[in-house]
Amino acid sequence: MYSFGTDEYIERTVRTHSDSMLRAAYSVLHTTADAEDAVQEAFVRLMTRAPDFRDAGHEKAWLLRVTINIARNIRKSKAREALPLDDSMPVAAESSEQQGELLQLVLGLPEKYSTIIHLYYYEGYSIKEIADILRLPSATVGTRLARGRAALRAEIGAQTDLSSEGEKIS
Amino acid sequence: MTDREQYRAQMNAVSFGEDFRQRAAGRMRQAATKKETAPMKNNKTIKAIIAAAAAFVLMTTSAFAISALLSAKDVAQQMGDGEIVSAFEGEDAVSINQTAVVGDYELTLLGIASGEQLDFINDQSIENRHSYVVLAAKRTDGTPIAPEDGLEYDDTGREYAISPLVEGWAPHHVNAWSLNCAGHGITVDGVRYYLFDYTNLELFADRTVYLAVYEGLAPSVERFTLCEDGTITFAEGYTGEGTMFTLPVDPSRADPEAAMQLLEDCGILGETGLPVDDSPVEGETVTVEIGEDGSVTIDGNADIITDEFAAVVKDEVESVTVPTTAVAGN
Repeated sequence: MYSFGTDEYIERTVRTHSDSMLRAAYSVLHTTADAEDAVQEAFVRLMTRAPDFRDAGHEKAWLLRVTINIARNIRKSKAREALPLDDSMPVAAESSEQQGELLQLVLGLPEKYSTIIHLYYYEGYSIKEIADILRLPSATVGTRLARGRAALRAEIGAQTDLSSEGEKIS
Repeated sequence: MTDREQYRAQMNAVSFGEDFRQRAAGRMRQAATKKETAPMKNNKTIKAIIAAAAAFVLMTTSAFAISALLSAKDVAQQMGDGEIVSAFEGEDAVSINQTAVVGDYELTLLGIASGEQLDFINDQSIENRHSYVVLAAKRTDGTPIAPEDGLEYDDTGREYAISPLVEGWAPHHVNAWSLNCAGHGITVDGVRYYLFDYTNLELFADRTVYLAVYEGLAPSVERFTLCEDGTITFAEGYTGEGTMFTLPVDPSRADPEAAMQLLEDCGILGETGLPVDDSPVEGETVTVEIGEDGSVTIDGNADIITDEFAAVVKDEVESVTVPTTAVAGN
């Protein structure tokens, strides 16, 4: 384990955690530029707060939690800037060419579902682990995961019905 | 290709800046350098705080001699969280030292503080403000609490839960879960200390904010009653141990609009601004199934925090049918 704050520590931390953090931020923000901003900010907080981690898993969970919180704040700020009187405006996404169809569908879900789906399917966290990262009750995580999946199934089903070639999205 | 594989592949296909890692490392080095060169300012602040603390100790020496408990700030230091230590050093921190007996324990509410989480992205920092509450528990018979024991589970088999509750809001709606509680416990010299980190409780400061300690898990209608005037009491039929402290939150920091937004964001309020009616239809059952891959399938309206539901997740029961008679309603 490298000493905190050293170049070796910084290089190791960025190398180990960047990808996960960037994709978690992307699942909230939908653009690479905003995701990069959120992750850079999360790394800065790591350096300024210098938390004491039990192990590598704890470190990753902490970084993901901070990243998601920062990303959510950015999202809220952008929503307020876009339409000052209406903060329900969704964050503009990058072009669909950069996003596969399933990814687009997941990103189109309410953020409280898409974040959990991302942590579950991309990171492979259990419901209990996601509950710890997001500081939610396990029951709430389970419910949101189930509802997010149901919403996805409904969306996929609707798209299948609308598809002129009847190609199933799977 | 499974949906999971497809999702992972599509997410992996999203490309970020080639120089991102280099830029991130650069910012981390800058942050590390700033931290190292900031000590002069911090030292002045710390000296002022030490002077004030010394004066406070002189004035309260008799009280200090009686109580051997750590202070709220000491607890934060023991837990190694510099940010929370700073919160308890701030002028908004409140030392409480209020005691109540619950079952075999003497509980002391040590203090409450609020802290701003650093936010360099924008100036809207209210949503980053957290409330920290510190509670101490020791046995009334004087025997030390073992490190593996505590209010959450002790050798008598009792389980206590600790949750903030807010006047005017049903306890099963606004509680430790919806307020994103993160709790940490340590045992020092046979005394169990708890530090709770909540979403900003000050938003609700135009109402009474309680800290309830009670037996069980969920703050259900079997345990609490929301009276017509908005006050919260233990339910008439509740026979367990418990107490309710009142938290001294600063009324000038109340923000009802932000509080409503918070509750909407965590799903308590629906589009109408009213609490989501999560009561099941009479006679309806809620079936929860947990698959081998950890997937959760829920039929019916299952967004209800009940002991039975919590047990399903906690004990990894494969399937349970929860009859409506066992479900907490409004």
